[in-house]
Amino acid sequence: MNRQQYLVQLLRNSVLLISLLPCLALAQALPNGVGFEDIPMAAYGVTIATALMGCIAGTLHRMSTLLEDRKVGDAPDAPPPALRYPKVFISSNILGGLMAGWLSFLTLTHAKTPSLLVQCGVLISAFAGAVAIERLAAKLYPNVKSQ
Amino acid sequence: MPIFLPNRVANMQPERKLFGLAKLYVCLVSLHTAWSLLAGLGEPDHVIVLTLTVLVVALGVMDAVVNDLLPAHFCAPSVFRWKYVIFIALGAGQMSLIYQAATSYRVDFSTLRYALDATAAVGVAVLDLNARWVARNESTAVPRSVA
Repeated sequence: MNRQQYLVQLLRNSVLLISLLPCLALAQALPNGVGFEDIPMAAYGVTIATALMGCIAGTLHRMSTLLEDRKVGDAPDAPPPALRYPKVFISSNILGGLMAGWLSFLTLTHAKTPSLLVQCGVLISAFAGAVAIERLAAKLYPNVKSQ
Repeated sequence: MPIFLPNRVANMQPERKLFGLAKLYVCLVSLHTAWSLLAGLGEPDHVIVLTLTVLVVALGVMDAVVNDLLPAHFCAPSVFRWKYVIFIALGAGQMSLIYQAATSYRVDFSTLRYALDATAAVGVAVLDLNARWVARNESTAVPRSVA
């Protein structure tokens, strides 16, 4: 790694760390008077299960997009594409979905949203987070071998 | 990105019927559960969730009937691309009912039924993707030459 690449990485990491500061300040203010202690553990477990389902939805959707479709110009007997980094693909989907789902759960519960709509928000956020983080990871680790 | 649907569906026509019936079952169970629990209550969040459920079930039924049960030359490309998200969303709707029961401290053995329905929805989505991937691999496999 040369000096320029090192400086670019240092700048990128610094931007990421500084952008976390507002989230940390908000997280510190979240538990005040919200009543998270009143929510039973089973509800937290169901929320994590719903976020995982959002991760699975994002994973399946990206897998079908990457692996299923033939492109214009492909020969009919062309070999199907395969994932080059399957562990990165799966882990980025799950990590992004769980983070986004959990953040949306905290935000919606803080806003006193009805419980059914909280789960809708968790599912949508988990799906969006899984797809977004996986697309970001694909910039560093291209997914499909034929790319 | 164009989808060459007839080539892939024609390779797995018998299994398509079974998947179509399984998807219809998941859709109808989700609609029955949501309608029996939420219809007539009149609260705004219940109306929103019921409306969303009816919309998603309609899309799921369209996918099951048009893409799986009807002959291969019938297709609904928009629904076909989002079919995995549709069925995961139906499963998450079942989980939201468990969440509502958990926050009200009304979880009992009968609540497990919603978890089984959610598992069925997720299983249909995952197995459908796996079956289409296997069908595509088999359709593009190079036959071995006999010496």
